[in-house]
Amino acid sequence: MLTTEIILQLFISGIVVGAIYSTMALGLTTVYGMLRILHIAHAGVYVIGAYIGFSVYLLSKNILLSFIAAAVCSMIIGLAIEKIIYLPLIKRPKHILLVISIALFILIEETVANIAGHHPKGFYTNIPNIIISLGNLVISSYQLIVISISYTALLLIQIFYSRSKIGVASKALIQDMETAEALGINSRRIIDYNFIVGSILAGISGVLVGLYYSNVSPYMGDIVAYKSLVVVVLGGFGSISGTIVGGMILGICESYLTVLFGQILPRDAFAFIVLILLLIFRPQGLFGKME
Amino acid sequence: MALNEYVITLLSEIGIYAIAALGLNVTWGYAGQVNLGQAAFIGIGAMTSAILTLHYGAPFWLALLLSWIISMVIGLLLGLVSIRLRYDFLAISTIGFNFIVVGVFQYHDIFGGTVGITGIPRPIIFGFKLSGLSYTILVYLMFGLASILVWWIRRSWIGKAFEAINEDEIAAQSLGINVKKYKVLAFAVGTGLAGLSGSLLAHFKTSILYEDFAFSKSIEIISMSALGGMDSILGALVGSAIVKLLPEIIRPLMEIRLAFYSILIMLVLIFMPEGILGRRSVLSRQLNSMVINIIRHACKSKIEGIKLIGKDPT
Repeated sequence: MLTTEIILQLFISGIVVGAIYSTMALGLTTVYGMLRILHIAHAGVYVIGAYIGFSVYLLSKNILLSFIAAAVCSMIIGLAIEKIIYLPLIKRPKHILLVISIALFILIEETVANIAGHHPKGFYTNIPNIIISLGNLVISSYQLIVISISYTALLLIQIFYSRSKIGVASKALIQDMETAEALGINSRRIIDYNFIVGSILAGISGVLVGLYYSNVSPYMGDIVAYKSLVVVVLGGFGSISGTIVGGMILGICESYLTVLFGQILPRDAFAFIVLILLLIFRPQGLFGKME
Repeated sequence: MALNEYVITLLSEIGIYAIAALGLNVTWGYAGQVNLGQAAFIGIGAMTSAILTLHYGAPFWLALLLSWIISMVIGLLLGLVSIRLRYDFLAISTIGFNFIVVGVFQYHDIFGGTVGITGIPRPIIFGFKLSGLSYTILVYLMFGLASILVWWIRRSWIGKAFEAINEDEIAAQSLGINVKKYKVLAFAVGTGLAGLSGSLLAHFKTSILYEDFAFSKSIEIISMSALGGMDSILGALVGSAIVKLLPEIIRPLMEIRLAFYSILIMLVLIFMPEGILGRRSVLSRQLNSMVINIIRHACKSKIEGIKLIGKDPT
C-alpha cells in the first residue's frame, strides 16, 4: 500500500506540520529551560496571534502587515503573562504554576471565543493556491509558504542563539541560572527577551496555521498546547536545536502513523503515546543528556 | 414537581462529581501526585459500567464494583509509570493519557464512537427501580462510603506515609517508607474513586459520550478539588457544590462556564492555595480558633463558677 511516492508525499506534509510544531515549541523550550515552568498559556499567545493576523488581514488585505501585527500583539501578551503571572509566583510549587498556566490558557481561549464567536472563521487570502508538481510529488504554494517562513524564522533564531550576546547569555541561563547570574548576566532582562522571541514565534505560527488550513478557531490551540510539550520533551528540555529537530520528527512520525493506524486512534493521540513512551524509556528526552 | 426534579438532578451531579474530586484529593492532596486526567478515569468507569450492564446484562452492583476495580487497575498502571517521572512531566503524561483515552472512546464503536452509548439501564435493587430521589440517596450513600474509606486511609499508616511523601520524598524514603509503593497506591485509590463516580454517572445520565470525559472535565474536577481544599474530605463536596451551583445561580455564567472555572482556579491557587476547607486554610484556622475560644470561655466560666462556689456566697 505504501509506495515510494506516498512515503515521500507523507514526508512533505510531515515536514510542513513539523515546521509549525518547532516554531511553536521554541518559546516553550526556552521558558522551561530558564524558569522550569511548563508554559501552556503559550498556546493562548498562538491563538491570539492567529486572530490578530486574521482580523488585520480582513481590514488591510495585506498579509505582511498581518504577520507584523500578530507578532507585536503576541509579544505584548507574552510579556504580560511573564510579568503579571509567572514572575510574582515563581516561588510556588511548579505543578501549581502548571495548573495556573492551563487555567490562563483556557481563559484566553474562552475570551477569544466570546469576542470572536465560538465557530471557526474562514481565513481566505489572495495568495493563489498553486499545486506544484515535481515528478510524481505535489506540493502546494501554501505548504511552500509555511516551510519557507518557519524555517527562515528558525534559522534566524538558531543564529540568534548561537551568535548574539543575548542568545549566548540565554543559553548560559538555561544551563545554570545561578552561575550565569554570578557571572554578571542580568537574568530578568534575558528572560524578558526570551519571552519576546518565543511569543513572536508563537504568534507567527498561529497566522501560518490559519493560512495553511484557511481557517482560525478559538480552539485551534487546544491540542497544540499539549503537543508542543511533546516537542520540548523530544528535544531534550531546553535545547534549541533539539526542539527544531524534535518538531520535525514529531510531524513526520505523525503523518506516517496516521496513515498506518488511522483507523485505530485519532491523529492527536499518537503524539501523546510517543510522549508517554519517551518519558518512560528516555526521561531525559531524545537528545537530552542525563542530569 | 419540575423544580423538584431539577433540584434532585443537580444534587445527584454534585454528589457524583464530589466522589471524583475526593479521589483527586487522595492522589494529589494527600500524596502530592499530580493527576490532571481524572476525567479519563471517570470515563473508564462509566464505559465499563455501561458496557457491562447493556451488553452483558450484568447487575448494577457488579458493574459498579467492576468499574471501580478496572479504573483502579488502570490507575495502578499509570502510577507505575508515574514513579519514573519528575513532577511536572507526570502532569503532562496524565494530560496525554486523558487525550488518548478520549481518542479511544471516540474511534471505537464498542465505546459508542461519535454517537455515544444510550439506553443505559437504571439500577434495580430488590426489584425496586432507582430513579429520582432514591438514586440521589444512593449517590450520597456511595459518597459516604468513599469518605469513610478516605478517612480510614488518612488515619492509617498509609495516610501518614502519603503525607510524608508529600512533604519531602527523600526524607520519607530515608525513614524507610517504600515511596514507590505508596505513590502507586495513591494513584490506585484516587482513580478507583473516579471509576466509581463514572459508573454512578453512567446510570444517572443513561447516555454517555466520549466528550463527557474530555480534558476540560478534568479541569472542572481540579477546580472543585482546589476550591474545597485538597486535603479535606468535606472539601470535595463543598467544591463540587460550588462549581456546579454557581453557574446555575448566576445564569449568565452558563455561557462562560469554562472561563469562569479557569478564573476560579487561578484565584484560588494564587490567593488561597489551601482552598476553603483545607487543613491550613483561612476558614479552618478561624473555625479552630473559634472552637478553642469557646472551650476556653466555657472553661473560664466553669473555673469562675468553682471559685464562686468555693467563696462565701454573700
